[in-house]
Amino acid sequence: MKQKLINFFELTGLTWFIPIVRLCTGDDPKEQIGDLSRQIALPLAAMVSFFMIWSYCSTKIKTSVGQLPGPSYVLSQAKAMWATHKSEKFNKEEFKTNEELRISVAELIEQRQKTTSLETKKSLTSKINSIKAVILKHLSQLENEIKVNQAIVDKAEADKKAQVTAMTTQLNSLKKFVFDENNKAVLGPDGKPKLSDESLSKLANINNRRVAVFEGNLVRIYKSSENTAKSLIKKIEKIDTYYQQDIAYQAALNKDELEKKIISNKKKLDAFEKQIFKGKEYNSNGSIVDYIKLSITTVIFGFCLAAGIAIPMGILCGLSPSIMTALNPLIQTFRPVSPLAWVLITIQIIDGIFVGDNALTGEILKNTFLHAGITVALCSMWATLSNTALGVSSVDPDHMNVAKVLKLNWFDRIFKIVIPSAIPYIFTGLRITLGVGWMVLIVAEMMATSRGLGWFIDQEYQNNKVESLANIIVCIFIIGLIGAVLDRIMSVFQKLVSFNDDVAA
Amino acid sequence: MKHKIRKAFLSFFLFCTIPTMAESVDENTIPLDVEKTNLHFGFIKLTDCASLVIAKEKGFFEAEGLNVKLTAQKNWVILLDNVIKGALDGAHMLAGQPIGATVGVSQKANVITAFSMDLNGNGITMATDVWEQMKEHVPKDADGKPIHPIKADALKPVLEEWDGPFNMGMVFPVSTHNYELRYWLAAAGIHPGFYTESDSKGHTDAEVIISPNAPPLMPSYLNSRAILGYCVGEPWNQKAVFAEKDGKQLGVPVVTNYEIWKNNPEKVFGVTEEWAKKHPKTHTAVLKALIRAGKWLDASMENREEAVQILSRSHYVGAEAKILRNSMTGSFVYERGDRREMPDFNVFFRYNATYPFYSDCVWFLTQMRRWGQLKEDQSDEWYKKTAEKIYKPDLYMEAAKLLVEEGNIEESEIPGDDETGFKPVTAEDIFIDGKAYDGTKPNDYIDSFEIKAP
Repeated sequence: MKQKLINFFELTGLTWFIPIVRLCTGDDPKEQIGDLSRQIALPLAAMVSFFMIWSYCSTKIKTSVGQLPGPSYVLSQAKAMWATHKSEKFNKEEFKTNEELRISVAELIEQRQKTTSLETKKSLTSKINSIKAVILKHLSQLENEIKVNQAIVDKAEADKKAQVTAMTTQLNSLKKFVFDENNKAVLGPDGKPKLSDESLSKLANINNRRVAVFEGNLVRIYKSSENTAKSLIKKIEKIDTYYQQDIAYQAALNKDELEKKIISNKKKLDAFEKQIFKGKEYNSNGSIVDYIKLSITTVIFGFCLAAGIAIPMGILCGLSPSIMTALNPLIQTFRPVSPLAWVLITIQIIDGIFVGDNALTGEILKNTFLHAGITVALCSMWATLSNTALGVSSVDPDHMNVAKVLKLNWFDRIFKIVIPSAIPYIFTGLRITLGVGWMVLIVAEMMATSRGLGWFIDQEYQNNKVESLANIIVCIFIIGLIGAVLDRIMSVFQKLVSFNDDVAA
Repeated sequence: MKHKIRKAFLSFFLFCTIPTMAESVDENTIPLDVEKTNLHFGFIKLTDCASLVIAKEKGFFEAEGLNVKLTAQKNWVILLDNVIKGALDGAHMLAGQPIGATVGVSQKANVITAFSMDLNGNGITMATDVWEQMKEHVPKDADGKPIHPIKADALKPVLEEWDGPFNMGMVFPVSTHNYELRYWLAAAGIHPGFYTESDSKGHTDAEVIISPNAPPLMPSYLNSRAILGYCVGEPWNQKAVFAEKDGKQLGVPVVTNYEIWKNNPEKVFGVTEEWAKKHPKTHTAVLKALIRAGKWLDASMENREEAVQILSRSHYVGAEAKILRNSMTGSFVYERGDRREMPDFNVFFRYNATYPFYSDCVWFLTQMRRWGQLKEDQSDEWYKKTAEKIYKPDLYMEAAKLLVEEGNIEESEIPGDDETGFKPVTAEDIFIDGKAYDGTKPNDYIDSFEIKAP
């Protein structure tokens, strides 16, 4: 058990768990604690000093959009992104319920239109109105939710206000402005007094108190759910008014005089009933989780495509020196091409294939997904290709001779001898491919408008404010972490298939 | 001093406050039986996409029974590409884009427009050192402040003594910015360069070399002196005022496009001809919502302030509210400390701003001919025919009349039935060089210029 665990952690690279396992199973505690402190304390120290340096630098560096965000500001932005994600999810569910309600109303109205019996019509009308009651009940719950969140926002706003007021008085009393020898404040080019570095860093800290903004977003999203429900109620009410009016007109004696009114009323009733029949898709700009999901899907798609092309080609190149010689110039030319160059041409090619007479029109997601995915494949497949070729060409000649003696056919030779002996090389190649692919993906998404992390970074960059700098930094951490996890996974596979250590990089 | 700091904090607060919520409007609107309920429109992160954003956020689309998704596009080429290939139903476009696409100056496709999104909104910014040299040649008033509008005449002597190439930036080859910058320069006899068969960059015979750049990057290019001036929309002119270089402001906006051509059309809402034919009722419903959004935007300064808050959300324009507010609420800063009132800098509805005038379309065509993007002379009839192919005032009127019927707009707010689509001949104070422009006689207008492509 113990050895198994240790092996597992060694395999996955989580080596700092090993001393804990040893400690738990009763190995020499002194040695293990020393090991543990080395494994954990050193990286921790490095990390803490990194954050300290970052924190210090952020107060000193002024970018064209404002103060560079420090760690705490970035953390608050990360929280904000998470909160947005949660409220997006909530909003989506609300939208679904709303659609379901709309469909049931639509069904009832359809039945009412078809039937001629007055009794059925009456009962259907009351059913429609009962759905209204359901939505209303739901709305009151939503209103509670909004109240709770609004209270949070109000409190945060008040806190922030108090803090800023305190800060202002403090700053004023400290009088840390820069004075010249005549005790006059030095004015900046904009006519405002120049602030000293200390004051500036304090002002920068106020940035961190903008947390309330994202709670405001939360309220906004709840309110938008409320609006969707309210507009459905409004539609039902309108249909009901015009319907009742219609019945009244039908029963009226002076129908001829009312003719005009009847027609216009019918028209309105018809227009609103048609509205109820029309389905809606949930549309939103998504949240960070959606971007991450799409990015990971794209990179896996690109990776599989790259492997699918590169491994067979690599095997062919490895088996036949003439194919290798033939393809080598092409491989050498295309390998170093930057993703930026590839993506533009792939966009055009994909559009050429999928758009036109047999178009997948309207499916912007699919198209842009393909743009990014194929670019990833094109840029990252070369490592696998050359590694596979190398692996195949360095298969032990003795093995091949054995195959000849046994008179194995071509397929058996490849699947029983060539691939098994080349597999460590192939996996080394695949690991590099995935790493390169992940890096390429972010660039490709920036260019191809596939709505993944790269797209989000590009959008934020265009927003041009401090908040967006912080969002970009959050994304950098996310990209780094995901990249590291992907690499770990590949290295586990690589270790599992390699026979000796020197192949594994 | 104290109150200055308080003021700074106060403005900080203002941009932190929570934007007001979207609300569903209206009792009178009767939704049309639209062919397509779920629509996807594109826009570029600039303040003049406001009509689209407001129509969504204030519930004007919802009232028409439309479920609209708005997505920011990376640049104008990708935006137009997405519209042409059908990934987007329609988009916020440069006025020159549908025209350029139809006559084949850029990507070739039949793109039409029935809605003009706004008037004015651009400026020309010069690097501060160039401006300081120009300033010596600019007439000044009693207080020593330069008299606006500043003509490129002030730039001419600077250019004569300039060592090396003089580069300037604009947004896109068929954008208003390109034509405005060229117009301004050429009005002073400075040659901005022609497009020819072999020169698609438009640098032939150029005294000032004009190239397209991405708007958000213009201030940084100015900083690195890759360009010495540029013509873009807001907020990128104001950005140069507040950015700093060597203790001075990075650049000085010298002239706005309102001063070059009063109430010139800037952006339009474009769809492909095919789309419009396939979804006529949807198109009308969209136009109805957009007209109401335009009216809402011009109704009051409170609405503008609310629009600023909405636009500053990160999925829309995303810039800080204080920067957006600068140009959206009726003033303009040329130099620090020189804030001037400019109530018409952004117009979304007044002066029939939303109506697609044929004469505006013809003006762009004349400029395309003038700078050699159109290679051959055409008859006046051709200009009119082309304008009728691209600009669709009849679709606009159809939507507007429905709105009048519903009581959502007044009849006086839209052009009457006798509107020909050609604005009257321009008076002397409309263009910066005082030229009269008659949209029905485009060839005479082109011939009246001294600088024009052969």
